[in-house]
Order: sequence, then structure tokens, then C-alpha cells
Amino acid sequence: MIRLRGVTKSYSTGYVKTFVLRNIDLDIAEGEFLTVMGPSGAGKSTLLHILGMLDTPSEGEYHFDGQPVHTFSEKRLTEFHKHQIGFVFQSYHLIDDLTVYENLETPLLYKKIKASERKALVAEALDRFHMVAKKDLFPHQLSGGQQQRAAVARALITKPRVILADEPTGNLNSKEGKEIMGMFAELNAGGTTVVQVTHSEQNAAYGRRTIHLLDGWIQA
Amino acid sequence: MLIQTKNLKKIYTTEEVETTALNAIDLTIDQGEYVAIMGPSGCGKSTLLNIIGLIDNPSSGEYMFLGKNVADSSERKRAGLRKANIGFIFQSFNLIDELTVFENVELPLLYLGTSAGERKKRVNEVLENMALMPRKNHFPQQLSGGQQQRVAVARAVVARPKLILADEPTGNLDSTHGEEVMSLLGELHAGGTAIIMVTHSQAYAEYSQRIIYLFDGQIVSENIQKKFKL
Repeated sequence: MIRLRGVTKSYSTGYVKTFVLRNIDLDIAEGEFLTVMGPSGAGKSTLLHILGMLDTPSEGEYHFDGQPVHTFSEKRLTEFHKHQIGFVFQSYHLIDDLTVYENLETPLLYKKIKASERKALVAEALDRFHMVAKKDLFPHQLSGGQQQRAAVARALITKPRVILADEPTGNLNSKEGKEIMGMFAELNAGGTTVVQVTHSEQNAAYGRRTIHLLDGWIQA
Repeated sequence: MLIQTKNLKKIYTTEEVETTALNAIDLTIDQGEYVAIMGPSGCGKSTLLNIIGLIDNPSSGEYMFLGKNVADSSERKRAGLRKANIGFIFQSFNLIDELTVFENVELPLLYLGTSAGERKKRVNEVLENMALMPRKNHFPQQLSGGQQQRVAVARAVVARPKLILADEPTGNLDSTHGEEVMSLLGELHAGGTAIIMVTHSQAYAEYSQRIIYLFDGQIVSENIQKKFKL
């Protein structure tokens, strides 16, 4: 599904060129659960942003379903990102003046989805993420783990084919972290492709393949 | 009068302990006023802001918003008042990562049932004002912190609320971008919008007309600015 060839990301400041990613070749099959590990500054988040079409490579090719993403216009990238990718971040990014229900509903308001179907999708997500009893609460009335569950539920409500997770359990205690990882595993079992960036060996164990980045290179 | 509270209390009860987050708050804020709330961490600032913003309930006391007693209103009623009258700005920007800049700003208008044509016009207008037009199709993660907070301010004002509530709006910004947000708030105030801002920064608090100091859930002093900056 995903094929990177010779992907490089560099920044020029004055006369100095800094490389964040160097000559990355990577294939990710549909339904995979891939973990990206490496020290801070190794290029993990940049790689995830490029995969998620929030950033573009300086050089190299990116094919998604055989389509040359590296040649896409910005508008097309935006559309592609929206339809294929669900991003989960370390911090929750819920909207504090909207209820849990409303937060989950927001991505659906921008698609041509009937109110009744929207309601059904939100209800299903609330159920799957064990948030039914919390639906009328505001984010500040939830624990950190519950907030992250709501954020994950929102990222996934449009049923993306790929989940990109950047340290998704970084702000959670171990029990809450396990819960989130369990949900990724469940979604993956249902056919969703998952790529996670993590420092945690325990989280990496949920994936079936791990790659290591160092100074922008994939380690053999 | 925009807001009046009388003997407002907020008490959190867990199995063993009762914590008083707010105690006997009497506060009146006029339409168009610019008020800063200061005090140490845990003094109740954010709780007070959440209650004023109708996203939390007081345990007891009176809260009049635009002349209506809302202390015990149903969530549906409060939501109606909130969405029509209040814009929120938070320290952590509160943008939705799955939505573009345009869509994030559009959100409050969707909840108000504004027509598609009017929405487009209003969102473009506010993006233009905030110099965000070149970014309108970007996602929040593609923007700097300063730009993200500008988007958040744009979202807070797009529905032309009577009141802006800002909880540490400059807390995650460097001083240049902090100043930028403060001057945006100053302009909104000059245009007639009431602003209540929680801040740790004495310098930023002095942009307001009145500073309220909270300590242990109580208002301990008020300082009316002789000459407020704009």
C-alpha cells in the first residue's frame, strides 16, 4: 500500500544543510502493524508526517496505492490525507468547549453525511471506546486516559485505512496506555494499517515489525 | 450587565475529602469589559472560567448570564447560550487535527446553523483579518505555535460572540507571538467584545481594564487599571 523510495528530508539554513531523513526505502503492506523506534531527533516524527502527507520529502518518491503522492498538489494532498489517514498524537487536542459527543462528531460535519448516519457513527464510536456514559461531559471532566480515548475515537471515526500514531501513550499511565494499545491491536485485527512511533518496548511488542531510525537512516 | 455571580461556590467531593475550589465568589462584569484573572496554580482560576463559560456547574450560588439565571439551567439551554455568545481560546490551542484551518474556524458557525454561503464569507473575512489566508487549506500540525493560536483566535471570534474567554492564551507562545495574541485581544475589546482572560503574566494582565486576584478559591483583591493599554 505504501512505498517510499530514496526519501530524503533536509533543511537548508544559510550554508548548512541539515538532513532529517536520508535515503529511506520502506514498504508497508495493507493491514500491517509497524513500529518506528529510535532516539529523539532520529527523524521518526518527520517520517510519520511524510507518511501522513502533512509534510513532503525533499527528494525521493512516495507511492500510496500505486499513486505518486510526491507529485500531488497541495490540494490533492489535503484530500488524500483526509480520506485515508487517521493521526493520533501524544497530546489530546480535544476542544474544551465541546462535549465528548460533539468532539467525536466534528470530522463528520464536513462530510456529506446525513444527520441520522452521523448519529449512528458517533454512537458506534462511543460504544467501541467505552465512552457512552461520558458523552455529555466536557474534556476537563475526564481523566487523561479518557481524553486520549476520546481523541483516538475522533481520529478514527471516519474509518481511515491507515492510523499514524506519534507516541500515543506518552502522556498516559501504564494501565491507560495498555488500553489504547489494545484498541490499536483490535483495529489492526479488523484490517486497519497501523504505524506507531514509540520509545516503549512494551508498545512495540504490539506491532509485528519494528524499524529503527538513527540520524535519519533506517538501521539494518 | 453581562455577568453577575452571587455567593458562587464549587466543591469537589471524592470519597474522603471535600475540596472547595471556589468560595463565595461575587463578581459583576459589564458588556464590553476587559478583565484579567490572576492567582497561583490551583487557586480556582480555570474553574471560575469554566463556570462563566457554561462548561461547568457551580455547586451553589447564583450565576446570571445576560440577565438569565443559568446556575441550574439544563445543558441544552446552556449550550444554546454558550454557542451563540461565547468564544473560547485555550493555552493548548484546541484545534482539531483532522480538520483544515478553514474548517476549524468554520466549526462554531456549523453549530449555529449558519448558511453555507454566509459561513464561507465570514470564515474568509476572519482569515483575511488574521493574515491566515495562505494557510487556509493546511492542517494544524503544519503550522507553528503562533499560527495555531491565531487560528484559535479566529475560531473564537468568527461567530461574533459578546464574550471571549481566554485561558492562558499566551502560555505556549514565545514573547513575539504572545504580544501578537494580546494585540488581537486588544483589537477585539476595542470593537466592543468583552474579554475575560486568565493569565500568569502581570505584564499581559495590564492590557485589561481590571485585574482580579484569586487565592484559595476566593477573590482577595481587585485592581482597576488607571490607564489600560491597547
